Amino acid sequence: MDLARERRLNRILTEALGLSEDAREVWVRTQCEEDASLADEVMNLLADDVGTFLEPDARLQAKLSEMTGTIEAPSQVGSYELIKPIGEGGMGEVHLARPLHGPERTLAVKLLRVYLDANSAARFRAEQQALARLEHDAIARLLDTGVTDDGRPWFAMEYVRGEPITRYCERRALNVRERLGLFLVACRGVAHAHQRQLLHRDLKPSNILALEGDSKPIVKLIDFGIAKALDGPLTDVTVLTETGVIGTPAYLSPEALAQGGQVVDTRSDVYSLGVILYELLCGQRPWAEHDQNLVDLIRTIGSNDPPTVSSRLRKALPEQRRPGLPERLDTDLDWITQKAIAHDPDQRYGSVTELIADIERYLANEPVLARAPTLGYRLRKFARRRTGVVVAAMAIMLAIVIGGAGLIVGLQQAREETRVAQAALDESEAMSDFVNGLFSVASPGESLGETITAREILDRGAVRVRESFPEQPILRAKLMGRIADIYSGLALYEQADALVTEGIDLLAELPDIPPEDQAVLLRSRGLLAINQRDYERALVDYEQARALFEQAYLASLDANQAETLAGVIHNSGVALFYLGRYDEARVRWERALELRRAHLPDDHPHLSRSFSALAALARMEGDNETARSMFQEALTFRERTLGPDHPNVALALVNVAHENRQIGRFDEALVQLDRALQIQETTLPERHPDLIRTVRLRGLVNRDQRNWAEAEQDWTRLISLVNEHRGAQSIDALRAQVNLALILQRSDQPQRALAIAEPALEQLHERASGVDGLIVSATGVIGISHWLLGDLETGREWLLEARRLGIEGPGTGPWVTWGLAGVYQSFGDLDAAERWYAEAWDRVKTQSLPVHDIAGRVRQDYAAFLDSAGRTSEADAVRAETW
Amino acid sequence: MVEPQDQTSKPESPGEITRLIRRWQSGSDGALEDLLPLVYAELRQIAGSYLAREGDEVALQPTELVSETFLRLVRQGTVHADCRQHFFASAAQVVRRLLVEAARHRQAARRSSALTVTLDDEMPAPAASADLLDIEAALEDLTKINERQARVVELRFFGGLTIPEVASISEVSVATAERDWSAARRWLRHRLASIRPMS
Repeated sequence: MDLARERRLNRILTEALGLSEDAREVWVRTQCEEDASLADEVMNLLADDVGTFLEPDARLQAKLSEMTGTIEAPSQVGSYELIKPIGEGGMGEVHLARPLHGPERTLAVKLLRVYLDANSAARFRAEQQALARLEHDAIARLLDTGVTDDGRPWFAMEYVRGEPITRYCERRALNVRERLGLFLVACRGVAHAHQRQLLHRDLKPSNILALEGDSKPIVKLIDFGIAKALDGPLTDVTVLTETGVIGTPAYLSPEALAQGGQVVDTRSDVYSLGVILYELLCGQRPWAEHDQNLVDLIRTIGSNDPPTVSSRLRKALPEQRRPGLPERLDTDLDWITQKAIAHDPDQRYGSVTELIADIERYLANEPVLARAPTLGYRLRKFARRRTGVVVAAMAIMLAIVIGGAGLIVGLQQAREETRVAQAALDESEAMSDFVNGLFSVASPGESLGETITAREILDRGAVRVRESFPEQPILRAKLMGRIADIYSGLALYEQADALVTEGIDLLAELPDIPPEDQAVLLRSRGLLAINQRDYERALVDYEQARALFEQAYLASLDANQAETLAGVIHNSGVALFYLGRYDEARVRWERALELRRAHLPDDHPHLSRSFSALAALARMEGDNETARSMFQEALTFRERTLGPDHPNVALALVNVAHENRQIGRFDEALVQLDRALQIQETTLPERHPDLIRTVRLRGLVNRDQRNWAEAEQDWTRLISLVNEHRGAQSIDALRAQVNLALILQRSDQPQRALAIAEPALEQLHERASGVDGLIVSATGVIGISHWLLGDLETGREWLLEARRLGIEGPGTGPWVTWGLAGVYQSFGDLDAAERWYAEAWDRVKTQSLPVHDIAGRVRQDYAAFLDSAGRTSEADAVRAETW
Repeated sequence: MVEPQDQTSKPESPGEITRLIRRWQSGSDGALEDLLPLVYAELRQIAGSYLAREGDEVALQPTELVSETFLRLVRQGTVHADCRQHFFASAAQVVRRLLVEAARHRQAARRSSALTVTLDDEMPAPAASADLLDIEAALEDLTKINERQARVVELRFFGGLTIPEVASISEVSVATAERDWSAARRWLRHRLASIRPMS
């Protein structure tokens, strides 16, 4: 083969093929110049009709194209006919469709570009059950889902003729309040889904559509659950898709971007909503300069805070200005957006509901939660700057505990081993106390930035300790106890429990169990049990620990031993108290006080523990005056011994305030609670669990006193505290929500009351038992709110339902009865109205005090009702009556 | 259509192929080298049964082999559907090697059996294997003349890619890909016509 000739031929042939057929011969002859045989050969090749020579099979080609979804879509899926494609994204395409059977209507079918095998298809179908239950005005209805024969999942949904919310706002030059209004609608849809444990995972403007409605704009979320159907590799698909149609990672949370198996939860949706809010408020995304490139985005997002919305607006170039948006923005909106898009999920709003509440507060000109840069907040910032210290402390401690272990094991002489190990242990105890001290500033779940690193070291320590000291079970068990205590200090109870139990078991296998060592571990586990409110188990451990300490110390006690023993006895009493065994608790507490009095100096702070405990007993026995004076004594004692600003003083203040509320001294109670809060806010992290009692009590007193705005603030704060520490699904959280709804209803905010009460009620219904009272309260609030909003029929239905449930809920008083009277009066059914008023009045007189809110309401409305019936003397009697 | 897939023959590292394809797409050096053996193992497994099923007279339609492999991997979740183009492109090279090996093997077997059994009755080799080996030889020549055109043939004939897909993989315009394909086919056909008598 003459390579040069063949190459020349190939070039001429190829270039000739680019020309029109007429022009080819002249061009070929010119190119070949003198070589006529070459020209002939090229012309020969050009003349050849190669037909289908080497062509891949066209049928197969078509089949493949269809299967990989690039060209042809099926003409029908499930029982729907696909009419025409209306859009394409990285995940699949959207078609306009209509049902093959049944009434004619238009819907959208989304066909994903993935293929599921039989197992995945089955799982997909199961997951879609949950989606089908989503019903909310702001969520496009999912009508049907399925998997095509070749394994492609599809979704048939309500067809929404809208445009992305950002474009909608921009084209109409909506102002900030209007934009917030639309955004809130979208948020409520997301919150609704979250309550059903469904995440969207791919919130972005193109999934939040807006369109003109009859009276106001309609907002609809689409594509709920579709990201989930892709099962994991969402970010792959979104970010790396070749088509680039949805190729922006801009709305994905850092944890979703990280793809490192990090948990994506409701707060990831909060983040996406935050980015959308940001864009709505200033026309740009927080990382606009970096969010087109994944690597760039991840790098930027991790090491910076985004500019605030208002600085974006301030610095906007003329072409970046958006009609409808101001040049200056309330800084509260900066706080809200920055909180929503915080890098660390723990720094964000804990839920979409919280985000909604804060925006509502802003719209109502109330202080927003995102703000409140309390001392606790500043402290945490401080702690974050000191991350290095914390981590170093952990590392040092573990170097001593764990590294020291390696050193010690290497030593030859057993006795020396023991001595060094003991020294290391003593040192490590001091060290871990130090670390505990540092960590007690960080409440569980907070400041993840530092605890994650520390956690890893700690976990490593927990693993290593199990392998260390094979010859010295006692030392190993002690170390397990120490590490368990650190876990416990971080509220990682499960890990702590496992470790300390292992230590206890380890000791139990020994022939001569050293009683004191065993008692120390049992004491740790007992405290763990109390923290987890497992009082039965706590009691067993403490009683056993007490017996062992007594055995170890025999008759003679020094001050330390006495306090150790008193502490265990005291806590045994605490467990008994919570188990309702008050007499036994009293015996323990009196014994602990006796020990403390005998062995401790009389200003030792632990004495006040005994005072408080005994005061709590007096409270239980209904002796509020005695309880109050004992709590007061404990308080005075603590102020004297601990100083006025110690957190334990705050706890004592709360106790006294509680008693004051019981005997109607509301003003005193409020003063004490404010002081307690002030102490706690300056000495504890922002969301420390100790705040729960203080805030709840303050909320109750403010409710009693009809300080609605303050009560609302307290309960809102309480909800976020309880969500954090007990979980958003806990009874405590639901109770707080119902209480907030009650306050909103009574302060004449029925719309907001409904927004809280309805989802709370749904959650309550999902619980088996123990929430009847709350259900009645929530049902009643919903009924009254509907009534107040002018929807008499719905209001009556709900109120009758509440009534049917039989009892008034805690704290509701005869509100339901009063509401029914009002509803029937509005209906003009005066007989029924009078019967309900009479009953409400009776119940007020037996259940409430004249000063109570409900008493005033019923008295006023009942009297007015009687007046309007011309029965003025009866009306006057109602007005004058007292009890 | 494709039969239900045998779940026991999963590759050892599900998702690995997708990962490598993505690396390759993003321009990472060496990704293709890592990718080919994986695709090869998978293809070979299928090709084994494929060739056995068809007996000696293997129908020469390599794209079917690739698409079957691809669909099987997609269904297993080993490879993502949107990787099709790149998968086919990398498979094309493998398929070519695989089929050529099989054809050589068959031809060798046939020759030896023919020698031992029917010395005086030697028939020309069946067209399919012969064609394939001829094509391979011609393609090797074309590589020396115009490497890009040879690659187009590989992608099209062995990989089953469409012209626009070929263009996108080779980073040339569709018109260029079209022209390359046309020129290569013409040349190959004449080449085959001229070398056939010699074999």
